[in-house]
Amino acid sequence: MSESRPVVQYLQSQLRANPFREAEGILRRRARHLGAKPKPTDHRGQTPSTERREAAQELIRKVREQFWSLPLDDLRRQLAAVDLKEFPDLKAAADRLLYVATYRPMFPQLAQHKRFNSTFFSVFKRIVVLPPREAGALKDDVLRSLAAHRDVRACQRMVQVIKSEFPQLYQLDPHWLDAILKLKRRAGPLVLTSPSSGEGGFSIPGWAIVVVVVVVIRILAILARNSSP
Amino acid sequence: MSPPWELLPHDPVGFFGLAEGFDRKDLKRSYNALLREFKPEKHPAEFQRIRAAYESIEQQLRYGRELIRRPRTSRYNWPSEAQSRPESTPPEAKPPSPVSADPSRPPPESTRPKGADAAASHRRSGEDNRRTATPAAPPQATERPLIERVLDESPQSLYAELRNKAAKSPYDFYALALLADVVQRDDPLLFLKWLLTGLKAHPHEPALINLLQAYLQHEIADQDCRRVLLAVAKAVPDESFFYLTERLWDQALRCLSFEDFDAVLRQCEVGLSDHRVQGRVVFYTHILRAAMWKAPREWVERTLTFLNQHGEWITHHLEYDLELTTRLWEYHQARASFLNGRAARQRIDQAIESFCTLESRAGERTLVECQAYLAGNPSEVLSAFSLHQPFPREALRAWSWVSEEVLGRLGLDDEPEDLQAAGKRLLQMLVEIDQDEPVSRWQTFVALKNLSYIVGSFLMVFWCPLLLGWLLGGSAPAVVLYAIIGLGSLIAFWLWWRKRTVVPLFDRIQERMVRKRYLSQWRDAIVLYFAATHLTFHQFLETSQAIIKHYSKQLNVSTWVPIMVSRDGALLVIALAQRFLQ
Repeated sequence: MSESRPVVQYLQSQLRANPFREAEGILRRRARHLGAKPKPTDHRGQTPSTERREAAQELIRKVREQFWSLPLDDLRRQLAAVDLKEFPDLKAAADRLLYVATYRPMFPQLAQHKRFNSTFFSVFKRIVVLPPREAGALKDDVLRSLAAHRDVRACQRMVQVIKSEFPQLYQLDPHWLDAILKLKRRAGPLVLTSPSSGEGGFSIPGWAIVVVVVVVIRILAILARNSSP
Repeated sequence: MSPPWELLPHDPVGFFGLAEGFDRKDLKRSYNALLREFKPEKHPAEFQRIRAAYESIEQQLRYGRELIRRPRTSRYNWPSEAQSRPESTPPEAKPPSPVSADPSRPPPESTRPKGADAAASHRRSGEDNRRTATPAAPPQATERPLIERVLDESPQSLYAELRNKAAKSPYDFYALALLADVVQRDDPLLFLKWLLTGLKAHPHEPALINLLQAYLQHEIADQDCRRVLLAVAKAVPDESFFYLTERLWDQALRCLSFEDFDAVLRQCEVGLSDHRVQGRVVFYTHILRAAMWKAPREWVERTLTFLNQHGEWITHHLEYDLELTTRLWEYHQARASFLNGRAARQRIDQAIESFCTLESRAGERTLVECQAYLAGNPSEVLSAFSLHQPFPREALRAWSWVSEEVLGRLGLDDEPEDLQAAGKRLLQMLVEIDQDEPVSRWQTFVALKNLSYIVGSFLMVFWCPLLLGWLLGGSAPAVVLYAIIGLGSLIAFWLWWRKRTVVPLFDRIQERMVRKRYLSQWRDAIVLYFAATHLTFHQFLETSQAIIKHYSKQLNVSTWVPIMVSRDGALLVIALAQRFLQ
């Protein structure tokens, strides 16, 4: 009895193979032939595709670019459409964007507030959607420049508003916002100066030495006078 | 130039371009060089192939397998052997059948063909394998290869014919395994059983070993783990056993209770002839990492004792693994004190356990997710690792080790791109810290410190002589004596007593003041610094110490920064987490 054509083709392809060189291929064909569900294995099993990752990265990049102009539903739909389970770093980025998107409607409300500061507002909007590495560098630079800026108090007032009246926006980056609140304005440019407080060494004022010597002499004299008959 | 992908998976050594006598460092170097080109986030499919090749060699290095530059070819020329060898079977032969019997047991004596005894006794000899495997009669012109016969003969008849054949070649066993899938679909393990029978007849046949190893890594259902391990132990009872079955043991540890796992392990070990112990040493070094989370403490300690007793088998390829396992065990023992209910600590603990117990990619994924959480929640990390609590040394050491391991696997352990810029930014931060400090507070502190020296000196110079004079009265010589005692007290104060009491007291006060400033101001700035530069924790300490040494005369209280940072577990955690961000 002759077997069906697929079975014959399967057997031929397998019998032609060399297990030393093609063990993985033999087993893959075998699994397909048996109709077995591929076991969820680690890296030797299903490999994440380069194309899928690149497509996911491109999607996230586009969402970031158009974040403030894209309709919310479209934004959410685009981010939800991609399965990012195999790319935990991209999943974290997408989750972050979804979280920011949830509270995006609050930004226009913040812009209407009487303590609105446009410079800080535009920087804050940039930082919450940037990739983490870029956001980190920008946050540090902003903090530095704010400390030397005359408008630091205006920015701090706006941050205080965010913290008290828009707590969900505050949660987007509480650590950085608190660092802004703690800032004190620096009077002048940064310079390396000598330590003014003499912290590193010990110094005794000259007058103290004079006083000590005089008192020593006086006490010795008193003792000597008391001891003489 | 594109890497030679065509050499994978059979020649990973050639793929990495490794010279003779390479070691694990050479392998890692080649691996990292390829990862710079094929980063996992840009080329995940290529990365997986590179990673699989790396792990294949790494496992062979650990088990001390002999590696050769060119792929080790089988003695049997597979497809062309199938085309040229004769198919006829001696009529009197009654070959072993694996269907009803345990494949690990040779067939009963009465059924063995006459040539099989010779095969059994010369099992380890390659030449004799060839004699018993290839039939005595020369090939006949009319016999067709199996590949062609499959077109017009039923698999059942071919299967029966091969099964009844007296002396089977490795290819015959391979063909039987394939045909069994078609002929007897209800027993998918028959494929494995024929491979094992083939290995019993032709031990060390590379093609069958290769296929068996691949099969054991992918194809075993959880419920079959136990009997497969026992069957393989009987078919391959030598030092190759643990090398072949390592991943299956990982799977068994996940799906079985520890008692069952241990029982299977002991049963398998009974029949092993690994007299050099090396295979067991490598295996236990590996399995301990996952087993410690399930096994009783006594088992772990017994295993560690076994490894210490056979330290001569710990090759330099294994040292890193053993070191990592030791760090993880230290953490495991200190785990209860590390977990204090804070979310950051819980997640770190879960990530460490997942790294050890899950399949490698799943474990990495959990760890990367944890790092993303930590990087995104610095405030939570800062409060989870307060400076007022004891430094969780074991936990952070284990966390650093596993994080660095995953960074290395993912090719993310490169140096930051611009170290010079990072150094400039660090100097700027230190200067800002100095400039932001309230000068009056530190001046007051220093003034008080100096005043204490003056008061102390005064007391030594005057108080002793006055007391003596009041107690003992005075004459001119006595006064001179009192003066000498006063001077001596002054010297003793400066050379001895001040250093033992006054200086430490003020150091403690200063440290308390510094810590307060560190917690309220500096810590946040340093967190942002790590986010901006992605320096490692140790690079930060080295760079800051170098800067402070260079600018020691110009910097002030910021010289305390590396000291405080080195005691701050939170910053170590945050610095690590930042390196996982892209």
